[in-house]
Amino acid sequence: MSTHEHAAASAISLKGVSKSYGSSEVIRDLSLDFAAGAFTVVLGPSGCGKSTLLRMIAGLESLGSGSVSIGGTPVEKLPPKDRGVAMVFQNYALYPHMTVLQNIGYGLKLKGVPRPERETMVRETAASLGLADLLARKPAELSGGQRQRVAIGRAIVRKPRVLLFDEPLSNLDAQLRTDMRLEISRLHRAIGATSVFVTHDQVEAMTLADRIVVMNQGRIEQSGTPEEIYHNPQTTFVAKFIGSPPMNLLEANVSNGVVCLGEASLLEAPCPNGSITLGVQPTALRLGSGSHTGAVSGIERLGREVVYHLETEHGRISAVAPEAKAGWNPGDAIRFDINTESLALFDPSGQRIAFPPT
Amino acid sequence: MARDGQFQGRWWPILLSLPQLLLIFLFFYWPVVIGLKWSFFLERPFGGSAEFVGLANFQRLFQDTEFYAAAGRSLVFMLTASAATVLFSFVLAVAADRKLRLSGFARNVLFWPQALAGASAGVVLSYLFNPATGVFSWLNTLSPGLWNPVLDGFDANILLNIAYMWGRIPIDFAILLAGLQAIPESYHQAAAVDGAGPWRRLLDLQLPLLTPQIFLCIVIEFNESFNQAFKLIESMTHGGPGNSTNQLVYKIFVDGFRGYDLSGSSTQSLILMLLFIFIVVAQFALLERRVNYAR
Amino acid sequence: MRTMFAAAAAFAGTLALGAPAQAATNFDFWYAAGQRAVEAQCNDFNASQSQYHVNCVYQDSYESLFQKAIAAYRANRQPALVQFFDGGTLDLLLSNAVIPVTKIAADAGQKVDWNDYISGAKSYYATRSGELYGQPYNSSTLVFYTNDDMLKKAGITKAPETWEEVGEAAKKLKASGVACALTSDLHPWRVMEEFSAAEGIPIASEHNGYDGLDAKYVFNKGLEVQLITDLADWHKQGMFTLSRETKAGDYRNAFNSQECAMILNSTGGYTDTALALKGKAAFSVHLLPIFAGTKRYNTFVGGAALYAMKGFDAKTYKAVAAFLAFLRSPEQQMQMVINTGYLPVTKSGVKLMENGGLANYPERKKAAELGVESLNFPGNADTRGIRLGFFVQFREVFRAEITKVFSGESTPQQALDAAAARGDEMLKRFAATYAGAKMP
Ligand SMILES: Nc1ncnc2c1ncn2[C@@H]1O[C@H](COP(=O)(O)OP(=O)(O)OP(=O)(O)O)[C@@H](O)[C@H]1O
Ligand SMILES: [Mg+2]
Repeated sequence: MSTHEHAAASAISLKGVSKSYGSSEVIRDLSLDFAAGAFTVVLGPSGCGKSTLLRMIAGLESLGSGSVSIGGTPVEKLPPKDRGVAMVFQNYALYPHMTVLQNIGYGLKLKGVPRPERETMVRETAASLGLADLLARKPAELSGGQRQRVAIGRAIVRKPRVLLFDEPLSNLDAQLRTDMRLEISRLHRAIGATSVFVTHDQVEAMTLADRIVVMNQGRIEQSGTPEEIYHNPQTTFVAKFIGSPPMNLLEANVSNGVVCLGEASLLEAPCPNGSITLGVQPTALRLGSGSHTGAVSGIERLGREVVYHLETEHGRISAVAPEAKAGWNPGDAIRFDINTESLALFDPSGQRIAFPPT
Repeated sequence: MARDGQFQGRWWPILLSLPQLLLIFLFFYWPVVIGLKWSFFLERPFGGSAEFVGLANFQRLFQDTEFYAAAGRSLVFMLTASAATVLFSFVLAVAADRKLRLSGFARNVLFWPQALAGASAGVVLSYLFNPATGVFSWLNTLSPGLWNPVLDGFDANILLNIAYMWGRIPIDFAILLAGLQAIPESYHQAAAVDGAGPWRRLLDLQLPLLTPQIFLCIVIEFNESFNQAFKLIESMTHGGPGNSTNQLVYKIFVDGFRGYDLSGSSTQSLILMLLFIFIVVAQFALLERRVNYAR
Repeated sequence: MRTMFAAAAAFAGTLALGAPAQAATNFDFWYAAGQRAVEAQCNDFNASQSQYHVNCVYQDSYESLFQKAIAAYRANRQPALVQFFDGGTLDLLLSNAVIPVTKIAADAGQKVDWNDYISGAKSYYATRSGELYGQPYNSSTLVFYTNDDMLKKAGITKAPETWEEVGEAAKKLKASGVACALTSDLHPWRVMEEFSAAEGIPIASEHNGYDGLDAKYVFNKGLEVQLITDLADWHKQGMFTLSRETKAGDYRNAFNSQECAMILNSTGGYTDTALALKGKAAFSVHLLPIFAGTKRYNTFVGGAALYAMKGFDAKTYKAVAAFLAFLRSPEQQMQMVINTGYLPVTKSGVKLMENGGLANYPERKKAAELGVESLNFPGNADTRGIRLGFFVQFREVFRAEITKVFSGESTPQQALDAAAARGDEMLKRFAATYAGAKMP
């Protein structure tokens, strides 16, 4: 593969992949396709196996069973360097004894790219990341954000077919994180590699992804576009994970096809009698009037919006209201209503109940 | 207002370190002062009138070929024994770090020699390497006299080096292995993704990141090879055969304590001390510049 | 500081002693050879009377004893009596740190016939005027040991008496399949000092230093060259093995385990050998070989003598004198011979040995008689002893240079010349160190 032109992005395909450490199964029979050139975010809580998945794609971890192919070629037997992948590590993993120039250029050097050419490529990459003035520094002399850029530079300088990011932003402050999100987005478009980005931060997932894969305990919980995931979480796990604040999950009852929250009947649904979980988006609550009451236990002012945390007889509920409507204080009792149009229903095992039926 | 619970004035620290200072003075500086004096006198073993001779002791020494030879042997031993020890320890540490099957076993076995004091190791090893019955005796069946540390000065020096390494490898191995294990796994992974195989990672990653430990080992070994040479020579070769292992430390001992030549011995000690100070300073000046402390 | 130590020592002393009711005069005696035998003599002395009490303190070796004695003397904490070995004689004579035993005895009112000492033993430790400085104590001399079974198997019926015969015997032994015919550690006491004495030739000028500090080594000009040349030739031909080349790693052990057929060893080693070879092989001891056609002289006495150190009061020296007298008695000498294999050193001691003193120890008697015979050969001015400065250090130099002959680095003449040259340097320095000192 030439290092000059843009490398073609390659699709990644995982089939029936499992991995165990000793007796604990970390990845369980996982099959997943990453479309060529797409930006896929793998989202899941800490310890769910995201890094393991990424390392298996990179070739840093052996497969327990199953197969991995990149660009249609099986790669299980190939060492990392022959897979055409690059990776940005959670803790940057910059070589502490090398300068920024050497760090970024190391992979090229190993590939045998002649020095003048190498330096040009490194300088171009560094310039695109705003590192042009820092090339002579060592990692210890850089700020966290600068280190992150170097790590990214090291990954993209080789124009890889596949770019893997392992929580690259988790060590940065909020402002930097926002900046870097945009930057990574831009770089992805510029490079056109197939990108897999691992994170436990749903905001990153929502803002970056073409497609989100939600993982839970080594399995795929749901995959889809950010909108699909946000509006139509297929399980309570996903529902709890997405959105800030996430969807409210309330215990409700069904009797004779009517869903009741406490005494109040909300809507009709073709469900068997018994308990059910009701998913209510925080934006689907109308505050100020209605048939339900709650006491304000906490207020988060986010600028244009305000989040109210309410203690109700059905549990704790988060509601988002436009700033104009704000005016309550902690301890105030509020009446509210639920907009039944965007409700989600989950059966006791946490699976979404298709409603309204399509 | 006096602050309660805090030591007053600047005398406290001095007072508290006084016992330590006193010991150092008594057992280090005072002997040095006496040695210095003796270097300019002809001192009789049992005391009595000593004659001031100016620089005569030094003059005599600088004309003595055996003195230069002994100093040379000390330096050569210091270099070969230190280099070989650090090199072997490094190889073993890398092997253990690579999780060779040997490693768990190696980590234990390699530490055993450390439990054996230098002198007793010397005795054990002289038997182990006896030309007639030792482990190298098969060399003599190939060609008679191929291995004879009793007669051959070169073999005797090899024996000394082996004996030294035998006792020292465990320490260096432990230091270097700890250093290797402290290199985060993610560096290896990053390098692997960058296209570096195990050998390249050894050269480009492990070796440079291990320089502080290697430097430490070299400093320790320079020191120790100077110190331990005496024990080993005394228990194994007694400076022989034919003076081939008569290093300066040993010569000083023999001249002073066996030959009762206190002035000659002191003069040599003084020169040895200056030599050693020079080596340590040079060591730090040369090596430290090349050490990576950042991680 | 010193007073503090002294106080502590005195306090510890009171605790330790306690027992002797009336204050006996106490003194320390440091020694380094014959631990069990000396301990027995100390106990016997302390039990034999109640006026004096000797604390006998064992030190690991002559070398370390000498080191400690020097340090102790410089710190004014020396023992009243020490055992010093032959090589350090001149160092002591010039040290100004010891009192002659003759004076100790005279001051204590003892009448001693010092001429009772056999001349070979006396001359080594006496001043030029013949006054004993140290009292000869554990004494031995060098003799020649043969394994007679191995010799017989090789067709040798008579033990070699000359070096020429030693060479022939070694050849025959080798032919009979003996891997190690003759072995030695090349210590100068064995291959140079005693050899020179037996041949009656000087080691150094000024009669081995007896006549002045300006002596020079001369051993490199005579028969010694022949001896080393022979040994080197034999080594090449596989007829002579260095001590450390043997399987046993030591010439005595090599002989005692029948690895080697012939060695030069002190009479003091007789007991060990007899025990080791008992019921396994016949062996015998002989006078040191000399070259054919030369006249035999007395050999030097080896071992150690007892010296009284300066710095004590008359009462203490009286106690020391009593202990020395006790050790001089023929009976105590006989105890020493029985317990160690050393030689009796006085004529009356020899007489007691001949008259039944060793009746129960016929083997020890054989060795002791041979040793006394060797010491009693007529001597000359060069067989009195050795009075050379830094001689202990010189022994190391000699050994190092001679070893080079056997590794092929030097010829015998080169090696001996080098040893002599370095030795002369040391003598010069010694003379400078003791400039103005009078040789007693
Ligand atoms: N080398 C290993 N040996 C044993 N267990 C391991 C190893 N590596 C990871 N695990 C375990 O596998 C599970 C998944 O680890 P992984 O690193 O993939 O999690 P993650 O999803 O990346 O978590 P995080 O967000 O905290 O980085 C965890 O329970 C972890 O403890
Ligand atoms: Mg992770």
